[in-house]
Amino acid sequence: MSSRLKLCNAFSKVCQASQAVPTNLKKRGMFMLARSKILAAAIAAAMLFSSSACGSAAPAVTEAPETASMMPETAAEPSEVASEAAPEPAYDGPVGLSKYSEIVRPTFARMASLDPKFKEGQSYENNIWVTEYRDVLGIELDTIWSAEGPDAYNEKLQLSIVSGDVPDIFVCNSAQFTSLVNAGMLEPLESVVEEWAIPLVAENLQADGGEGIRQATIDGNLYGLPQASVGAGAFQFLFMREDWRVKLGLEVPKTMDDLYAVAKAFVEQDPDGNGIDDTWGLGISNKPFETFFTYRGFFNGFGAYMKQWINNNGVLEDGIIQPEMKLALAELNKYYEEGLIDPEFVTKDSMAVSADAISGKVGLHFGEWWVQTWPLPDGVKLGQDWKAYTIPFAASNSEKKLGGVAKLLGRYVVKKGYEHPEALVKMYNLFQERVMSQNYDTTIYKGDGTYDFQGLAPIAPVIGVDRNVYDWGFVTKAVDAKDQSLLAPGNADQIDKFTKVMAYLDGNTPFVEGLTDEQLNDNTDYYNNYRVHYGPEAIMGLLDYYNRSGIFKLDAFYGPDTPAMLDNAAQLQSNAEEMIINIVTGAEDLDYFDEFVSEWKLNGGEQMIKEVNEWYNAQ
Amino acid sequence: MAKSTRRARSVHWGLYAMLVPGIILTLIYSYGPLMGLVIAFQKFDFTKGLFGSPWVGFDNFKYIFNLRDFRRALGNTLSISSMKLVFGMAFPIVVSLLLNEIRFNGLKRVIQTLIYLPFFISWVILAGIMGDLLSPSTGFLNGILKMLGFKGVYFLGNASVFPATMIVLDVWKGFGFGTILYLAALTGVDPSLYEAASMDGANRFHRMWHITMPELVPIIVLNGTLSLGNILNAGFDQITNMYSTVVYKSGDILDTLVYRVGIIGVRDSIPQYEIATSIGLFKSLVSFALISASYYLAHKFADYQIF
Repeated sequence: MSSRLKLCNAFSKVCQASQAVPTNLKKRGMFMLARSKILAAAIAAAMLFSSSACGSAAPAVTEAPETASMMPETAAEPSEVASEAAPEPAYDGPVGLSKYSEIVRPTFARMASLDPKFKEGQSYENNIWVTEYRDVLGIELDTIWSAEGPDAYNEKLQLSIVSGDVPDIFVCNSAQFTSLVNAGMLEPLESVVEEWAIPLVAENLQADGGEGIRQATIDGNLYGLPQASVGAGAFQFLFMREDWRVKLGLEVPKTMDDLYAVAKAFVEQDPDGNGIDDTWGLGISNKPFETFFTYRGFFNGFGAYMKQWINNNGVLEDGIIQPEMKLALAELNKYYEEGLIDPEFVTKDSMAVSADAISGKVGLHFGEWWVQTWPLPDGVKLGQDWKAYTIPFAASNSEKKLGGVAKLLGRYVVKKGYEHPEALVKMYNLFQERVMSQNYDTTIYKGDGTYDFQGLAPIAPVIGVDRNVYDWGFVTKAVDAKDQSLLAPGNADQIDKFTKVMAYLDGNTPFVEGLTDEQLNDNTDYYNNYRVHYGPEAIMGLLDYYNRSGIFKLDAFYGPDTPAMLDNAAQLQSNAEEMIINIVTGAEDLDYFDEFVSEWKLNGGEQMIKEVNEWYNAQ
Repeated sequence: MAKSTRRARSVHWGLYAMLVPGIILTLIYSYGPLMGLVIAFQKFDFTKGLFGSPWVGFDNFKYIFNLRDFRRALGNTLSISSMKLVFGMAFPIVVSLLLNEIRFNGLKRVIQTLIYLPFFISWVILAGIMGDLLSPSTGFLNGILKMLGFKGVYFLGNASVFPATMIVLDVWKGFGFGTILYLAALTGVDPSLYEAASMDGANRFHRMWHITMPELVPIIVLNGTLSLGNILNAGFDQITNMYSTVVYKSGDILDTLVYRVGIIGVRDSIPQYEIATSIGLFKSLVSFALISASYYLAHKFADYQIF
């Protein structure tokens, strides 16, 4: 008996151990973060790719700005290039780019890149920006901490804020910005910007109608400088397998009914010609709020807007609870019931659907322009011809508008009481001067696939007119005339795009047999430049059309997050996702939408509407 | 006696010293964070910190108990984990009784090893494998079902079969481990009992029922009562890797809700820390009560005690 008891005791301890193993929330959390970091890195890579391969100076970063645009650096080693040693020659440039007579050393927090791309032998401590800051501006950043990627950075910054120990100059997101201002931790910048901003910066800050500046202003005081222009590039396009469309002899869809017909043909008429029923019409992911293989373009087609506020005759309302949403959901449900959407989409996130698309199973999907540069080229290499179109509109939608983000994400800020707030403005100026103005030496100030010139800048404001659209005009004209001299003088980006488009038109396409890997990569690059940068049907041409036609309906609420948003937004978003998926799959019928709306209002939505309208009426 | 204890202490001082780092780490990482529980009673504002945030009493708890998602997750948690508990215990018992009857030792070992293997694979990896294996269009299992003339089943994307899928997978993953426990317990059974029984004319089934089972009862009771404390843990690792929006209805458990709403939050916004903490605290309290109860039960029925 006693020996058995002993045995029992021993076993029970093992049992306990086994029961205690499973849940380790925190660890899992870290893991998921790591996973989302991988995605962020992928998007960042896409951005880098697009900004190098297509040579664009201003990648559309509204959706993923932290990833690509600001990977700060430091100048930790004290420099003996001190200025007081030798008398400086008289400076005759703009005051906003003048040099401090004595080196200024603001503390700084760096959001390091997950995949930094330096020139051979360089690092965050030693690269062109460190030398430029020191030699041109007389600034040496003292990096007190750095974190890899936006998630880690935000977490660490949060801790800094909580402990009241923020750097002199840093970047923060929207919610952090509001809290920092409320806690009185930021230096007002209005007079500093007025005094020190160079004309180029002053002009580019107005490129989005001054929206960025407005959103960095609280109670009439400017507390931050926008990290990117508001709304740039985050608009929806319809991506279609052009080869399938041509093969089946289908018209380009202009209305949602057309789209339905095309989707149906893509499913039923075996567009890939393999004799097996293995293709889907529309590719969507199981996360309606993700940025590629998204629902947004489809919703916009029906006049429904998600994740944005709309102005309904002077009253702001959340797009997600508007009746138009019902029309869009009913249509998606029809797609699902008739097998035009992968019935397994509910267990596939954007990455999984994108894998399906690349393996040639998806005919249509919605996304922002950069999808053409990532991940679709992987499919191009397998012989798929993807082409972007403007989004179709439903007959019921008389408004015909495209939704867009109007929220400023990142802001550069200065700690309250820091003695040189103008240092931020100077670095901001320098980036704009080097990257956005036309008169820089492109042999020095330019990145490529292996060297991320822009991304290494500690302060990297992507503001101003969309350089891609600007270049597109020149490239198109020059290619049409086959005359390189029509490009803007000295613009290496345009030359690069021009050369590649010409190479494609000379017959270097990825769609022929027998290419070596290298040729295939090159030809895919040429093809991408052709699809993105040349002619009225290229994505930049479509974007130009969007810009000129005033088709945008931007988020009507661009103020700081309201208290009810901070309290309930996470919960409400989760509920909205669930409602959308359940109605699309028919797990709930369409009337469930009304039930969702009343639940939404009860769970804090009503309060959100109230607060948002208070903000609106105070504008 | 006192002398020998003292000597034991002086002899083992090295061992005691080795305990110190462990105790310090436990204090720092297991007891220190308990301070963070105050968030559950605050309207947490990170600029004001742990002790500066305004107190709101039980408002956060009122909020979660009014939340449809919380009540639903609580129900799902209870049903999924109680089923896991029942089947996770019954299945290994049956398997170990059967294995115990195999007299060919080599075969027994091979089977034991094979069924033990899944225990070592992490859910992250299994989720990927299962996603493919259980897919209605390309999955192996559905291929068989369709070949036999059944309709395909969307194991991971159908809210009405999702919990069952989770339970089956969990039992499958864990039963090898449980089997080893019970088999080990069976090796402690006095062989003379079996011999005596066969002399008295008991066949195999009789012996299994009248000797093996009673010998197993204490460890079964023990295992069962101790599992009670975990009734609110329905398997975060497993479910967070396999669930998706469409199965929230039947598959969203407390831990996944906390993770989704309280820790990830919405992009560019602050997660609802205080809500996550409240749910966590609620879970801990219930678990504590259940563990105390099960400890009492274990003591009473299985004569087991730690203290």
